[in-house]
Amino acid sequence: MTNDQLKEKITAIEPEAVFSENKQYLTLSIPKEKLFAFAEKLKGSEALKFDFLFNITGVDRQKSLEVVYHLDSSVYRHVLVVKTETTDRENPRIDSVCSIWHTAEFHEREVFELFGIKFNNHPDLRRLLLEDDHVGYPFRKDYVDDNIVQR
Amino acid sequence: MTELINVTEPDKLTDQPEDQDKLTEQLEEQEYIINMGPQHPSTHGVLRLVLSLKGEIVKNIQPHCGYIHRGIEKMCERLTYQQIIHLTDRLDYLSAHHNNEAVCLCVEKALEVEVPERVKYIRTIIDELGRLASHQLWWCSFGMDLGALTAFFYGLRDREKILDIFEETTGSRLLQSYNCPGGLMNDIHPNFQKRVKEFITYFRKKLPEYDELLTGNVILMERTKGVGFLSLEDAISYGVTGPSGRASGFACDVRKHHPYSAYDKAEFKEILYTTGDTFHRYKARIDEMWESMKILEQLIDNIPEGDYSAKMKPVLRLPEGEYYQRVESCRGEFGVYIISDGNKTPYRIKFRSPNFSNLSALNIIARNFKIADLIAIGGSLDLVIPDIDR
Amino acid sequence: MNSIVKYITDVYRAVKSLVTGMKVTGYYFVHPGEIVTQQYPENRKELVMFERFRGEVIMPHDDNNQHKCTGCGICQINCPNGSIEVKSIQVETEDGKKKRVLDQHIYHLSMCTFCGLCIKTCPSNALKFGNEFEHAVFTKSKLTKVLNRPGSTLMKGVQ
Repeated sequence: MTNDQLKEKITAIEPEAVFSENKQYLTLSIPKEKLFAFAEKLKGSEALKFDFLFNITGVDRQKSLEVVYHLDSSVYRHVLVVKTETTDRENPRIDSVCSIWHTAEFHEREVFELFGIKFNNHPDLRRLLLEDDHVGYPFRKDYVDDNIVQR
Repeated sequence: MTELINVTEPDKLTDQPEDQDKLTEQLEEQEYIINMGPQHPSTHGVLRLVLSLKGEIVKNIQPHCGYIHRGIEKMCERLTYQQIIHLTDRLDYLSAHHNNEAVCLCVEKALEVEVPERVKYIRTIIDELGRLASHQLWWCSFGMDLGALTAFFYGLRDREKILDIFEETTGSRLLQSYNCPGGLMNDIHPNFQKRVKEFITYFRKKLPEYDELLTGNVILMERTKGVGFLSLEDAISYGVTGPSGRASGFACDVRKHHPYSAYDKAEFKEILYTTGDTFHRYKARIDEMWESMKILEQLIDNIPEGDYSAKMKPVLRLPEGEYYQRVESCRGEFGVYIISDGNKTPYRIKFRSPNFSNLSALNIIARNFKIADLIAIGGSLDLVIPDIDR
Repeated sequence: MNSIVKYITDVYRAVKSLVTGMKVTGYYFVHPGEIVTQQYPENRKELVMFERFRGEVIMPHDDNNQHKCTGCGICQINCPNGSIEVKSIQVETEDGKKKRVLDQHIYHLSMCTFCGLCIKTCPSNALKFGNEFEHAVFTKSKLTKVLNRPGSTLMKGVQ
């Protein structure tokens, strides 16, 4: 399926999706309130069948915090990039997609500890990589640490 | 977390046999928490698994990682694209070349640079040699996890030959840093083709020895067949890729479905099994070695003449945007996601490491099997810890 | 009856699989010529590394104690770990012009990851990988080396 056909089908199930320019993969952003319902449709729909979530990335966009989901279909082999963002830097909250794709459990834990984004309904939101007494979210752009060498 | 062990009336229990029996009875009813690692030989690195046991049966596994978290992604935000390459070696050190290649392909895609055909062929050949070396090392250590020490020496004997080929051409045995954006650091050594061909003839004779030594062995069969099932749905949902995923029937070979470099020019079979138990994860890797040799044979004589690198500017500035590149590393799908803001360093770089997702499935695979089977299952998943921690 | 037959075939298969494995090990037991183990460090004298082997970064000097490094500092900029420090000084040449020449090329082997970027980017090919690989020392400071030899000068014709 080409990206244009894919775009049509996705607009049909979610008219609020905003598509952005990308030469490689079809990229869209969605309000965080609609993310979970949209994700369920993406996996459930027979024509799309996005059943393989291969990457979750947290991005600090300075003004907002963004989470990027890379989806693949093991049946049709088409790829979709879904983005959602939150402007609240103090207490950012985004719905978890753990119950749809189990791999999200680890990926969301990583995003949680590195960016401080809390995922609603996550079964086990604990730290994964850093030590328990670490202060701050190291992958945010405003994180300061004396050990980081300025070049 | 399960509750801590509670012994009722502990003061009244003495060393008398009947009291000890009572204690054992009480303990057997409850789950028992045990730490496996961080320094445990069968975790192949510093990984801590917190196991909830009921007798000998594993009820729950909670992996605790991060003992060698170096923050490579954060470090990369301060380095230029050429400098990033050598850090990706240190993610999954057994598929160093695959990781290098992923970053290079991603940068080349962003800059819309067409690399010479020669580069594509050489990259593919070294990828496959790396895959052979990695699977050989996995075979050694898998045997050793199950108590077969002899296998270790046989695997390393053959791996040494590949490492020599690497050393002659790239200068390093393990962390090669042989790629650079636009091509390769230097041309292949004049002996390269001859030595690879010699190696293939040699290894075609030696690989059946692996089967004789270990595959047919009654102890290995007993310990791997019917142990640690991963269903197809779970494999897809947990994102288990590579040979571990393909043993469950998940067709996830990036080389086949999203070809890069010269993989579209080679004929090879995607190894698929259906059961998804430990034995089939084992078989998938052994079969993959045969396929790798097939790819090598097809490409080694057809390396086209030409430059070993495209002309690149000394300072690379990626146009603003987002780029993703997937490659098939030895353990599954490796991905590089670069977000560029037009500077010479990436705004954000993310490495999708295969072991990270594979580890997340360990809990459902090994649950309700014996603790000794956990060693076999962990070995068959072929985890490399620096790749998980990054 | 069936269970007895199964038991015997199981035992037979098990023993057979063990013997198959033993055959391989037995073959190498009687063919010691195929064993590939190297006797290190006894073979140190005849041990030859490959020409491209990345042991350490060196600066080749010719017979007149001359090197090719102009002290431009490109290797220092390109090093991802900060393992190279180039110290250059201003000197006055015979015709009265001021010129920058290399004073000290300091190389911290303890921080080097052997990525090869300094060698690849050097405009005058002054650096090279050496084949020395036995770097164990008792103090870390011994791993900090000055690559240009004392009293060495710039080779003629290198800009």
